[in-house]
Amino acid sequence: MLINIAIAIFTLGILGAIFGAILGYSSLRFKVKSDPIVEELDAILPQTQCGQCGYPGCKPYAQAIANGEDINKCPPGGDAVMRQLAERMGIEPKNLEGEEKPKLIAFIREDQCIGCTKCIQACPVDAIIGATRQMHTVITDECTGCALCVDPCPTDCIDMVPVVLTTQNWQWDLNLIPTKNSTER
Amino acid sequence: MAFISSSSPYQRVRRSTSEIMLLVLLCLIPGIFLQSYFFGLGNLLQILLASTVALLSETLILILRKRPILSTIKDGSALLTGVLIAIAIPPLAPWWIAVIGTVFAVIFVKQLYGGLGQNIFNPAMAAYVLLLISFPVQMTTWIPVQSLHPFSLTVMDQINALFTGFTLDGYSVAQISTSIDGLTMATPLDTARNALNSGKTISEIFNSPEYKASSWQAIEWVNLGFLIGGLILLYKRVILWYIPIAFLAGISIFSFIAFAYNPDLNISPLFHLFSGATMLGAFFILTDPVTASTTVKGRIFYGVLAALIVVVIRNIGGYPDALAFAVLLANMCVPFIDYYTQPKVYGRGR
Amino acid sequence: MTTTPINLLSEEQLAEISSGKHWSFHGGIHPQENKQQSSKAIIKDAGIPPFLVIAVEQKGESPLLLVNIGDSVLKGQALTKATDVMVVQNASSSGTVTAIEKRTDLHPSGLPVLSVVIATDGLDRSVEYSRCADYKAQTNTQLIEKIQNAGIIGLGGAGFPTHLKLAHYAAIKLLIINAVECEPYITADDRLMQEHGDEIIDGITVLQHILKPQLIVIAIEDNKPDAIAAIKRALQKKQSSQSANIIIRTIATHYPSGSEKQLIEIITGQQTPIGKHPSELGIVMHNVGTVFAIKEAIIDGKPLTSRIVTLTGEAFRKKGNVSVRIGTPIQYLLDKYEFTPTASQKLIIGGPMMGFSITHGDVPVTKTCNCIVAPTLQEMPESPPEMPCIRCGECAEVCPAQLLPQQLLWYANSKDNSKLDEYNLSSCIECGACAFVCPSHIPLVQYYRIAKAEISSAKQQAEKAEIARIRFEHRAARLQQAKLDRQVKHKQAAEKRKQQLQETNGGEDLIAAAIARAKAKKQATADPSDAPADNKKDAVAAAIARAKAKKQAAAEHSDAPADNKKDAVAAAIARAKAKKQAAAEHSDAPADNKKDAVAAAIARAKAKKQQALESTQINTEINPENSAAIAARKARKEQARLHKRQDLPAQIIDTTIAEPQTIDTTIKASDDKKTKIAAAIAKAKAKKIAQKDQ
Repeated sequence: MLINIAIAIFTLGILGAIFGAILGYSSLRFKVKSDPIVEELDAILPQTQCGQCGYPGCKPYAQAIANGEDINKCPPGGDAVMRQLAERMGIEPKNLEGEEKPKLIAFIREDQCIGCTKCIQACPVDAIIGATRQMHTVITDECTGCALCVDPCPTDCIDMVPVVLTTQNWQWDLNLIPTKNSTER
Repeated sequence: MAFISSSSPYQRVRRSTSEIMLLVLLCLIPGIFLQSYFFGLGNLLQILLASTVALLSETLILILRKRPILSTIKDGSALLTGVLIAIAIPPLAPWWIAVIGTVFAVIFVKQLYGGLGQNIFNPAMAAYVLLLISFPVQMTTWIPVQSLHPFSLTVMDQINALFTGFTLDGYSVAQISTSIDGLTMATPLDTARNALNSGKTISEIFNSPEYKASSWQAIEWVNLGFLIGGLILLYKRVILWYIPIAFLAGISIFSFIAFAYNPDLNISPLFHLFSGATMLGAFFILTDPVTASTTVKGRIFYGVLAALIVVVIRNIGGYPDALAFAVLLANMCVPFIDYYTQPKVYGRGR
Repeated sequence: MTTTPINLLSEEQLAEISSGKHWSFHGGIHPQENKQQSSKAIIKDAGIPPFLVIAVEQKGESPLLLVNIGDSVLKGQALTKATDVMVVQNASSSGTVTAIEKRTDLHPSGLPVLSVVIATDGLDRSVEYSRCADYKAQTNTQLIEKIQNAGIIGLGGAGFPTHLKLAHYAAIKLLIINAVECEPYITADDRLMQEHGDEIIDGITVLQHILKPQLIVIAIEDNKPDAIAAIKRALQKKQSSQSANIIIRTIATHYPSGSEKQLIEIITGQQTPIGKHPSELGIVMHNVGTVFAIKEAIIDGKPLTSRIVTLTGEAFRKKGNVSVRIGTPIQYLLDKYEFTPTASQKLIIGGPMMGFSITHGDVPVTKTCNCIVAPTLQEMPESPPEMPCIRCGECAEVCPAQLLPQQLLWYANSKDNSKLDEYNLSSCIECGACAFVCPSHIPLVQYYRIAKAEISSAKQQAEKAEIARIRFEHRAARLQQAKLDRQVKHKQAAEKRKQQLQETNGGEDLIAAAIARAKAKKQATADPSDAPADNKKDAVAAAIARAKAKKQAAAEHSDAPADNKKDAVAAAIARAKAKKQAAAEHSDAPADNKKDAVAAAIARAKAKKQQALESTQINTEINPENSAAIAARKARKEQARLHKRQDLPAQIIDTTIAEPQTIDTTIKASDDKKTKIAAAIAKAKAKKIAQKDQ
C-alpha cells in the first residue's frame, strides 16, 4: 500500500521534473527579445495622442497595456478599439471608461487668434501651423481631434467642431430608410 | 411635398418565407396521405397534436423572449417542425411523445438559439433523437399495416390508444403492434438489422416470415409519396437540387459499395433508397436551409456526408435507421463545410 | 497614363468574339421590364425651366469657377475650369448667374454641393459652336481635350469622366458600346438609338479614330428590336471601310447584363480580375449616350448641355423620354409632365433595381440622371417587414459577382469587417439581385452599402491614424533632439559660468551666474558688472520685480533696490533686461523654435498673471496695458522657471528677456495688432477671473 503511494509520488515527481526542465529550457531557448505586442497594440490605438488614458500618447499607453494596464481607457477608440485590444491581449472586454464621442476636429476662430503658438506646442501631431504673432490654423486632415490645444489657448478661440458632412463622406444611413433589423441585437 | 425614401431595389419577387414553408407543408401531403392509408389515421392525429403544441410553445417562448408573436408564427417554421416530428414518430405513440418532442424542438433547439435562422441543429431531428434515446420502446412500437391488423381500429380506438395507451376494446398498443401470426411489428430496416445480427443472410431475411410480415411495401409506398412531394418542391424551386441529389446519389453509391463487397450482409441500394426515412430526409429534412450548408459545393458535400453516415449506421451501427443522427452530425459540420467551399468570386480567376 | 497590359485579348479571342460566339454570367434575374410605358413616344424637349441649378463640385472637389454672381452666361459657356480629372461644367441655357452656393444635389444623401444657379432668360442664346467635319486631322490629345471641355462624363450611371477613360488609347483591342439598358423601366438609350442611330454610328467612328480598336461591339438587349434595327440601318449606311470591324451583338435580356463587368463577360467570356481595370485586358466600354455626346462635342462642337431622361411610372400622366437641360429642377419636370402623387409616393432616380429615392423635387437633373420613376403603390409595393434570413441561398444563386450574400449579411450584422473582406464584399456591384429574390425581404443591398461605407471609413481612419502616429513620432524625436541640444548648451554655459565665477567673487547661485553670463554674452558693449543680489526668496519680492520690470519696459534705467525678500533670479533677470535695453533697443532674438516656445510661455504668463498684477502694479508705464502684461509674463516666467526648470540654460533666459521688447516694438509698430492683443488679453483676464472665482 505504502509502496504504491510512494511509486505514484515518485512517478509524478519525475514527470514534474522532466516537464519543468522542458518548460524552463524552452522559455530560455524561445525567448522573444523585443516585445512586438507593443507595436501591435499601438497599431490598434487610434493615434489621437490625446492623453485621455493618462499617458502622454498612444505608444506609451500601448506599452502600459502590455504591462498590464486596463484596456478601457481610450475613449476616442471607443468600444471597437477596446474590443480589439481585449482580443489581442486575450482578456475580457470591459466597459469603456469615459464616453465615446463623435469625432471632432479643432477649429481656430482666426480673428481672435493672437498668434501665441501655445496650441502649436500642445498639438501632439503638429497639425497646427502658424508663427509667433501670426494667425494659426488647423490642418483639418491631420487633426486627430484630441482637444489638447483647447485649454492652453489664452483667448479661447479654439472650438472642437464636428466633421462637415459632404456627399463624399456621407454613409448610407439606415435610419433614413424604413428597414428594421430583426436578427438578434 | 415629401416623398417616401427607401432602399433599392424597388421591385421584388413576391415569394415570402411563409409561402415557402406553406409549399413545403403542401408537398408533404402525398407522403402523409400514404402513411395514413397504410397505417391508419394515427399520424394525422399526431400531426394535429404536434402542430397545436408547436404553435402554442412558439407563442409561449416568444412572449417570454419579448418578440413579435404574430409575424413570427406566420413564418410557418414552427408548424413545419411539428408536422415533421409527427410524421417521424410511430402513429400510435403516446401523446406525450409528440408533446415532448415538439416542445423540445421549438423551444430548445430553435428559439433558445435565437429563433428562425439562428439554430444550428434541425429542430425536428434533434427532437427525434432525444425521443429515440429517451423512450426507445415507445419510439419503436410500430403498428402493422392496416390489412394485417388482427383487430380493426376505428378512429376513436386510435384516439384512445394515443391518449391512454389502450383502444376502446381494451387492447394495448403493444398488442396492436403484434401482427396476426404473433410476431412483434417492426419496420423493415429493424427486421433486417435484427436478422443480420442473428446471423442470417439478406436473402434469408427477405424470405423470412418476419420480413414478409413487416410493412416493407407500405414503407416503400410512403417513401414514394415523399419523393413525389420532393419533386414538386424541386420543380417549384422551393428547394434546390444540390442536397437531395447529392444525398440520394451518396446513398446509392455507398450502399452499392457495401452491397458489392458482401451482398449477403449488406442490404441493396434500392432497399436503402426506399426504406426508412430516406426520401423524407432527402427532400424535406436535409434541405432545411437554416441548418444545411449554404454554398453550392458545400451542399453537395453536405448531402454526401449525410448519406455516408446513414449508410454506415444502417449497415454497421446499432440503430436500424440513422437519418436523424446523420442530419445532426452533418449540421455540426456545416460551418466548417461552408468555410472551405466558398465559391470563387467574380474576377478571382477561374 | 497607360499601364502595361497584363493579359490582352488575343487575336483568337477577338476572332471568336466576331464570329458571333457569346457567353453568359453567373446568376442574374428577370425582373418585370415595364419598358413599353415609355418606349413608344418620340423624345420631346422638356423646355427651358425658369432657373437652372448646375452642380459644379466633382467628387467632392470644387473646381475653379469662371463666372461670378451677376454675370450673364450663354448656353454652352464654360462655368468652371477643367483640371486633370475634372471636366468643364457648361451652362445649359442662357441667362444670369444669380447665386453660387450650396444646393441640394441629386444624390441619395440629399446633401448640398456647390452649385451655380442661373436664372434663364428664355432666349436660349448659345455660344458659337464650331463644327468640325474633319476631326481626323486632329491629334488624340486635341480630341480628348475637346471631350473634356464639352463636359462629357459616362452617361450610363457612374459618371466617370470620359476623357480619363480615353487616355488609355494605346492598348485598346476591343471597344464595347454599352446599349444594353438592362434596368427595368428605363428607355432613354432605346429611344436615343431609335432616333439618332446615324449620330451614334458617327460617335463610334470618332472613338474608333481615337482608340483604334481591332473590334467594336455594340451590345443591345433583345428586348429592343426597334433600336437594333435602327442601329443596323445606320451601320449599313456607313462606308464599309469604317464599319468593317463594327458588329452588333444582340444579347439575351438578363439583368444585370448592362453592368460593365458582366457585359464584358458576356461579350468576351473573360472576367475582369479583381483590382484590375478592363483596359488591362485591352477592353474599354462606353455607354451609347456618351457616344452620342461625343459625336456632338467633336463633330458639331456642342458641349453636353442636355440629356435624355425617361419619365415613367404610373404617377406620371405623360410618360416618355424627354431631352432635359442639365440643371433643370426635377419639380419642373414633375409639374410639366403631370405628375400626380399617390399614397406613399416614391420618386426614384435611375431604375428600380439600382436607383435611389429622393425626398423632394427641388433637386436638379444631372448628367447621370437617366430616369425618373414615379411608381404607384400598386406598381412597387412597399417592402414587407424584414424577416430573419433562413439561408435559403437564393441570393447566392442570382449573385452576378458569385458572392454569398447570406454570409455577408451575417457578417455585416455583426460588423465583422475582416470577415466581410474575406467574403469579398468589395466585389459587390450593388445590383440588387439578391434583395430582389430574398423571400425574407431583407434589404441586403442597403446592409452592404452601409458595411462598405463603414469599411472604407475604417480604412481611412486607419490611414489617418498611421499618419498621426508618424507625425507624433517625428515630433517626439524633434523635441528630444531639442532637449539634447539644450543640454549641450547648458553644459557649455555651465563651463563658462565656472570661468566667470573664478573671475568674479563667486558664491552666486547657479541661475544668477547663468544670467550674469548671459548678460555678458548678449551685451557686447555693456559692461560686465554684476549687480548685487539677495538670496532671500519671496513671492512679494517677485511682485516688486514685476513692477520694476514694467519700468524697465518703459525704458527706464532705474535699478530698484531689492529691499524686500527678493528672488535673486528675478532681480537678476530684471537687471539683465534693463541693461540689455540700454545696450540695444531692438535686440534680434533668434527666430527659432526655442524662441517661439519662450514667447509662448511669456504670453501664457501674461494671461495668467494678469489678475495678480492688478493689485501690485505701479502705474509708471507709457503703455500701461501692454507693459503690465509683459511684466506679468516675465514674473510668471521666472517663477515657472524656478519651480520647474532650474536647469534652463542662460541663452533661453536671454531670449526671454529680449522677447518683451520685441513684443513692445511690434505692438507699437502695429496699432491694429495692439488692439487685437489688448482684446485678447482682456479676454484672457476674464478667463482667469472666472477660473479664480471657481
